[in-house]
Amino acid sequence: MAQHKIIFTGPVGAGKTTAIKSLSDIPIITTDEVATDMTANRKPQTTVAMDYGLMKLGDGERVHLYGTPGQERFDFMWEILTEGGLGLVLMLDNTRERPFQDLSFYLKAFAPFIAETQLVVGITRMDESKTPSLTEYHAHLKQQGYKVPVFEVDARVKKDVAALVQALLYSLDPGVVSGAPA
Amino acid sequence: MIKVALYGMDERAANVITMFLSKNTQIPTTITPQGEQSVAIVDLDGVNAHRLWLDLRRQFHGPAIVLSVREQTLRNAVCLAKPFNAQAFLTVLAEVKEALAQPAALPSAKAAVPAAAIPAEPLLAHPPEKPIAHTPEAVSNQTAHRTDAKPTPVQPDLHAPLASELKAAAVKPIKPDQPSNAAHLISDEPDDEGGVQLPDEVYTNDTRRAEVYFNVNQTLFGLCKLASKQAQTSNSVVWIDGFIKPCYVYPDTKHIFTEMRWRYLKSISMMDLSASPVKLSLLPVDSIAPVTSNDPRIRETEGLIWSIAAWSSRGRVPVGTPLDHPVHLLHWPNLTRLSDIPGAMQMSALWIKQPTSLLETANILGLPYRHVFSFYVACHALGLVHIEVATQPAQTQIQNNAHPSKAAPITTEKRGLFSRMLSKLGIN
Repeated sequence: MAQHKIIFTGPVGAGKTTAIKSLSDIPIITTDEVATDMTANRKPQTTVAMDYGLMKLGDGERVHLYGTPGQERFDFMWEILTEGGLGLVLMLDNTRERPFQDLSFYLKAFAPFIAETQLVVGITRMDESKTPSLTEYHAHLKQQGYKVPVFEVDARVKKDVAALVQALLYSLDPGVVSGAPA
Repeated sequence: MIKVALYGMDERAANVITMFLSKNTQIPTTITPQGEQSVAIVDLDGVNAHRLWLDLRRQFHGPAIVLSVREQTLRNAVCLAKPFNAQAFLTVLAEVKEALAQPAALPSAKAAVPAAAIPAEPLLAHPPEKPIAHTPEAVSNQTAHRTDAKPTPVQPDLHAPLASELKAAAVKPIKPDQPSNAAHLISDEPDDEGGVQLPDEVYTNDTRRAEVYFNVNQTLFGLCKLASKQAQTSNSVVWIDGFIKPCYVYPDTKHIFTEMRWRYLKSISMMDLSASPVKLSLLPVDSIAPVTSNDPRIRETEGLIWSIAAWSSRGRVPVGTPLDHPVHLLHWPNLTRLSDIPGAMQMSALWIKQPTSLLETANILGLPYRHVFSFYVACHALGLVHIEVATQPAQTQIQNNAHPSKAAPITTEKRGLFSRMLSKLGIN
């Protein structure tokens, strides 16, 4: 049976682990460790290898949900993780100091993967910080040649995270119909 | 001979009017049964006056003479303020007679008699001078002062767009502790849920094509759009009055304050407001504190306008919208925080990937036309779409994605997978 995967990426504390937890049918496997660097300023524990969750579609078909470690020094893992992936979910924390810098960094880092698949962007913690606005995110993305879905999300809310994945799928194939036979 | 029918009057009032008209020789008139008139004379001070007015306007679009103790400004009607004398009545009759002879000169939304009672700009009620609120909560609590407040002049340059764009009526400010007449009307309206859908035939049959269009200015969407524009350009709070509860549109903060529930807003959105007593007023911005509250009555303008636009659309598009030219989506709407419109994600993805006409969108995605049209109107309300009239038909457009994907074409196998994933995610 075919195996598929979706990649979740973004900076530390953006909600990747929580997003995967929202969708996964199994208790997620995480490699969180006590943060010892500057990450500790944002959260006490952080993912050092990857997060893993699973969506079971029935008949043994599965979609693996992988979360990349947030810290840039683990970026050597990203290429391995993305191989064969359906698309990229980029989570950004709107309370971070330079969200556009984060955005540009991940666009560049995953450019080859995005070119072969699709990208969706989820902005978290917009209730705490209204700026930058989604319009500004769209403008920034457009400058770099992307017209992709950007949604305000709460990673704890399944509906929000599901919307990101739905947008990813429709971006890949606008004509897909839910529940249609293969 | 002008054929006149009387509406909303008791027997005594009707007799007085009949007697006056029969004695009047300057302008020959005859009383006819209701429905056969060329001019309606309507008493708008009755208990069900506004219901009466709307019912009349559904059946009769000719000129009307409105009798009322309040200043009324209604489309295609001349107001005769009570108490009036014979000369005032004759003046109005003469005006209506002239309008009948020259349909283009039908009475406009302007009060006629007595002149002294006519405000300079009847579409803009005078706002209270004293500050009415310092917090969003206080906006509603302090409204009792309004009727005693002195009027504040309104910037004249704001009047023209209001008068030209908003065909709504002005009445005296309604006491806040009383629901307006319009509120009664709303209460009387049946729940329109599911009862206003246009059949697909309307969209495909050229002879019925006119039914897919609507006049934005006659809807709550048009009203809110205008109020929002006024709030921004005048840096004032715009007060929308005439519904069950008032509504305040704030400048800059991108928020709207209203106590109206979603269900009411939906009902109002589905109504034709051209004959309703709704007015806009400008309130000094320094009389209202900036919106910082988490009060649920404070709604984000974007979300509210999106919903109201979709409801007002009812599966139709603004008059003049080309149906067979490609729709360009500037960027995805924030679909996690906007009311759901069926097929919104599919349409967003399609219009970003390949601009497609409204009619083609429904065909390609297998969606009901009404959903496509409503989604277009909602996106249009937020300034997210434009239609390039000069372009070729949608089928000939190349991919519009600024960052074209190198991905392999979607296979049947993948489409099946995506379909099962959507099903798993709860999309039915």
